[in-house]
Amino acid sequence: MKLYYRLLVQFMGKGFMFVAVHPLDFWMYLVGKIIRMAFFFVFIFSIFRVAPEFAGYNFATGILIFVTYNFIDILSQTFFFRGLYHLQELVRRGTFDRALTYPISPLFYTAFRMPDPMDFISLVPVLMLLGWALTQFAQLLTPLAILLYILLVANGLLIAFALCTFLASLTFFTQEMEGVWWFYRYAVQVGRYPVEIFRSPFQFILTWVIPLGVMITFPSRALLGILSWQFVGGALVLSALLFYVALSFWRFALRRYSSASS
Amino acid sequence: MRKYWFIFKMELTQLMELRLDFWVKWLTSLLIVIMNYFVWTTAFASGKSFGGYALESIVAYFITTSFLYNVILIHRQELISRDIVEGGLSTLLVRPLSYPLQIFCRAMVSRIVYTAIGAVLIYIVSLFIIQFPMPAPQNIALGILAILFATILYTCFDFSLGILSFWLARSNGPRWIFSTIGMLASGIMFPIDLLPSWLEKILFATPFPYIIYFPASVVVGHFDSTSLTQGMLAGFFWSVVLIILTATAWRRGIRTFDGSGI
Amino acid sequence: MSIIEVKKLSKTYTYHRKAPGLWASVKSLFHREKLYTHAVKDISFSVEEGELVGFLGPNGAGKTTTLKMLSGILYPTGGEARVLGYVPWERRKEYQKQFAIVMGQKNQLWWDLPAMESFILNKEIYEVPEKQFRTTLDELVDLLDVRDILDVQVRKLSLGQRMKCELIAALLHAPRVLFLDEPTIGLDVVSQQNMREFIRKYNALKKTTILLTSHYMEDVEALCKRVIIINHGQIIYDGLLADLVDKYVDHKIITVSFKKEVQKKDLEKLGEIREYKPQYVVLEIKNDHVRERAAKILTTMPVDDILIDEAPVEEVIRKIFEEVAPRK
Repeated sequence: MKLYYRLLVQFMGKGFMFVAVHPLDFWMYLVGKIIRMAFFFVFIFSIFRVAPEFAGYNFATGILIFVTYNFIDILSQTFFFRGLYHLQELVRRGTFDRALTYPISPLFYTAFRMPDPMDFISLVPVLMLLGWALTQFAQLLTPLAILLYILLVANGLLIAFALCTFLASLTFFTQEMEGVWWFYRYAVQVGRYPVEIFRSPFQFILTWVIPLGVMITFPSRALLGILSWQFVGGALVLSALLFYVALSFWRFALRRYSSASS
Repeated sequence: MRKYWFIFKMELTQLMELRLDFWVKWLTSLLIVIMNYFVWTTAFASGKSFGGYALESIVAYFITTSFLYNVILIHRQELISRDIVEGGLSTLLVRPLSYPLQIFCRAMVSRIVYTAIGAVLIYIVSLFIIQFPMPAPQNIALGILAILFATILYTCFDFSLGILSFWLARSNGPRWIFSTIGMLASGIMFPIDLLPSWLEKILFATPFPYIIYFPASVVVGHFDSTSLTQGMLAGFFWSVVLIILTATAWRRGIRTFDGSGI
Repeated sequence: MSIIEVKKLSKTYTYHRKAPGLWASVKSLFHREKLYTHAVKDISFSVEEGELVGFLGPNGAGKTTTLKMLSGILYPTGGEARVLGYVPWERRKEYQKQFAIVMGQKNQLWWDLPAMESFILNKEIYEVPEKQFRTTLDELVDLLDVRDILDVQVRKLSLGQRMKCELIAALLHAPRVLFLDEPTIGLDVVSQQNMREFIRKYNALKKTTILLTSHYMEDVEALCKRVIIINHGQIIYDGLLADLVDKYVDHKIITVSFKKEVQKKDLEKLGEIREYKPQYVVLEIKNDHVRERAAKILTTMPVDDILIDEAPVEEVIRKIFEEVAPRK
């Protein structure tokens, strides 16, 4: 455990160094992210200006879901998304072979080797929005609700990691991952909206199968005190299950890579 | 002319090779259509029309947009950038074949194939998932003209971003920020006229809306004849401007490329 | 017990074939035909601790595949192998900490950062204690003479400098077994020389077992007493380099320069002419006749200088590959 902590610190440090090497990239990404966030903020604002009730959510709760989405999205970008996404490059160049000779978990190396610590900066506007949303329903908040919110956000991150690991494993079967990752990016973007807006069977699929509901809507509902205990339990079981499945699939895919690559 | 026909056929063959990408791309579009359908159905639940849109026309708008997204936004910038950075361009330049024309020709292949597939998919969606009115024939005819301008505009943008590599060793950042802004400002995510009017005005002073928003609105029949004429003139104007700018940039870029002596 | 033991190791790859043409492409959207290549076929050998063995063969002979299997990167299709007593493809941490692989064309250094950063990362990955890290690094840096480039971005280094840093990165955890896959590929002559010098010194100093593949015969000649030659996935020779020449070559090369012009037809009787100028000739003469013919040249011709050489190893190997006819 201590080894992986030390490695994570190392990788983070390298992330900062990269920023120093490519400052233009850094500014471009930062500005782009903020513009994108601002745009959607304006968009949500526009929707609620016309329709004050959106699937039973008001403006503040809509913002809460938007913030939660960004939380999970930004944290997964910061830590593991880039690494898993760029696995295709490692495989294409043949440098992934190297990862297999290191005395550490190849999945850990792949996922966490290129974090983007500067992404924390884009958390600032998100936290500001969260602060504002919290003041809107201050009377609903209990310590338990806040604790559950944090727990479920972490749970959502674990789900995101499991999904990304699952998709990254596909890299060992095909070299055409670009479309797959785009699909993931778009699918997660659906999570900006509460899953309640989707009619069955889509609602069920998006809650439990592509578990955006569990990832994003559940934490918000827990914070508002409208999530039953059964669902909290279900969310935890689901993430554990997904994590297990993703890990097994990764091992299977790795085994295949080791037997088939040339 | 024969050699371009040959390139055309080669590209078509290559397109078929990337089979996973091919299917996933369309799955992504379907996902976006479904998401937007539910988002807007929910928004309309509170009654009223929405910023001048009826539910049907906004659903039609999103279906058209996701079609246009796949047909117009065929990007070749990574390829161009790689050709320049890795020096492959020098061998391509000495061949009796215009490099820009060749790029354009290959992109057109994808466009034609995707148009055919898109048409079939839209028909299937309209039968089984979402009912929406088919566009009137005169709207389609006008739409084709608007799509032509849109294709020119996007090709120019795409090509310019690709040849940024003449001047920048790493152009990922600028390219990323452009595609992010383009995504939002061209109307793929939502109709531009639903944004606050100050933002709408800013966007209409740029060529972005003419890439997706304008042709989509023409097809859907969202415009009266005055704004239609204005839009067409603007589309024509921007096409001419961008062609001139891109051609100038290309000519200058080649000179710096020759100078670098790869 | 041998440090590397390989028994009947095999590896088969699958790949897809696509007929040319558009219609075939459309079909390939749904189905692709599978084909097999036998990259490595039933090879067996063993290596003792401290040996430096050369692995020779043309492109696609199966050298890299074998090294990858011994590194645990690839699972074999059949057979067994043990390195340091471990089965490589189980990828046990204890094993991974005791070997290293350097691939000439695939770098592990971080491109955008100074090499030193990659070294520190490897220190963490291999859990090398700080003190040991410092001494090992110092030693390697001196041996390779790279002290002044450690803080330069790797992308700014020349290929030769980069390979030196690659070697350091691979050796920081003091591996007992080292696999070198084409370590000198693409290097200029001087850098190749340096690299060889280093490998020889390191092997002598640390008694590290080294398995080396290379295209360059000079590498093998300079470094390896023992060679394993592999072609079409099979071992066709395993033994001393010196014996290889005796076994496969029945002639020596005699180079003579003359004081005066000598007719070509006078020389033809002596042996096969490789190269001829009026005052210079290179002859290929069967081993049995060398003594007698050399004497004859010295006594009957206006000799300025005469040299008797073994046939170059490169030529020997080429001959072997040509003789062992390619099978399908």
